[in-house]
Amino acid sequence: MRTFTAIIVAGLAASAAAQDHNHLAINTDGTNTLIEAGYYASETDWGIAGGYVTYQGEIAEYHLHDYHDGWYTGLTANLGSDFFAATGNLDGGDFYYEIVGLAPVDGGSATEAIWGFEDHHGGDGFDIEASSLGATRLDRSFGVGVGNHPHGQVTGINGTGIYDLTLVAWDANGVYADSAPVTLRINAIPAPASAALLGLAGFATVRRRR
Amino acid sequence: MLRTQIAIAGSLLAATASAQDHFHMTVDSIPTPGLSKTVIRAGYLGSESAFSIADGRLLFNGEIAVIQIDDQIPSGAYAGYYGSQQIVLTSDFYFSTGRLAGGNFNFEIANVERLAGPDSRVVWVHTTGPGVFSLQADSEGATQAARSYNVGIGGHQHAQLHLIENEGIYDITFVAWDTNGLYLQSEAVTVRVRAGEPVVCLADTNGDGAVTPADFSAWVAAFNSQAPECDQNGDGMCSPADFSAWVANYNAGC
Repeated sequence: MRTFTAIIVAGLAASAAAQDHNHLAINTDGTNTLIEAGYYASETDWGIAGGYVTYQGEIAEYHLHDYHDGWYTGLTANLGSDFFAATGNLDGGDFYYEIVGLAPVDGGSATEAIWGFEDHHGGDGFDIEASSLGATRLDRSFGVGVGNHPHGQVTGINGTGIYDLTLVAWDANGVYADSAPVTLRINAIPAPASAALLGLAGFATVRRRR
Repeated sequence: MLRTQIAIAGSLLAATASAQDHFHMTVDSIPTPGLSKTVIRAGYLGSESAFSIADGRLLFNGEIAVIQIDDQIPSGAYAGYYGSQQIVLTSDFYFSTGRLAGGNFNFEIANVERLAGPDSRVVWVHTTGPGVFSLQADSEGATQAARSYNVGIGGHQHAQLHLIENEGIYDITFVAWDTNGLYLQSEAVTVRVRAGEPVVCLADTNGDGAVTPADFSAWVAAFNSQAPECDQNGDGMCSPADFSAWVANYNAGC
């Protein structure tokens, strides 16, 4: 198993370098939706095998270090629908990634996983776009449309431990059939040092006010 | 989709850009006799259709886009610089078409034109921690490589920031080029940025901070060279009508 620190401390460090997160993309074979990984030049170590996101052939483990108000958060996979849009393979689709499963692997007590955006509009926090407990498929889904690559994505879970978070990509327009499930292994790890740094590091940039 | 707000105390995330706060410029190529030519594109992502490039300029809804940069770096090597993550340079979008095959692409900061404020250095950096930046490209670099931000091929670096040395309005011109030499250099594309809230004094054509008769000579020179300072009436053109506008601006003072 390979482990990755998704977020060292919050803030600009959370806009992690390419080595700190990877991308998942939508593709199709003309009929079915496919979730792919490992297509970026800097991410050839990544792949999907046996239904898991892998790194150098082993199950990748994403670490979620940030904590607030009951949530462990971090960057894991960046969900997009951009990479294969220019090929025409996605024409007519409107794609989503649905959280279809959350299963503890090692001692976890979490009951909910979410996918969302960092909040950059003057507030501190994040917006939840999809929850594993959502009542409808849309509530459980993170929308990426066609040809999109949203930055600032956050993965969160409401407890410590190691979990398998499973996604299925689907097309709201019904042009393409659902993808096979892909599972991300996440590890919610308390990081007191990170919390302390938040108070000490100061702002990397500050809003100029006049 | 759910829309729930969760607070994170003490986060620095407010200083970074969201999906709505940034846009992407990427490289593509077009076949030309001999070597194919590199092209800089914008507006190809599903959420960014308002962006486009025409006549060598980045546009937003058909007008010159102005990228507003409000945040300042409080300390370190770039203390006082205005910084943002709004302009994201990539080489990913068209990679899967095969049109970039064999390339190793760079965006060179080819020119920084002052429209308001003092002359300003522009750098492209990576964040490696809170307030810690790694220099990638410098408008004052001695070589094309030193002035260039490398995006490789199929690359989409999230942690890139651009920093502007001073408060002002600047036209930053980019040229994309291929280190491997398989593609010809792109046409120039200019992006306008507004760092802070600069006081724009159009009549101060020579930018010395004062409105004096010397600005008339500077305006004539701008007119003859079709420089941006020539445009005194804000119509986006440099024409004889700008002379009358300059006189009016001069008389109005700053």
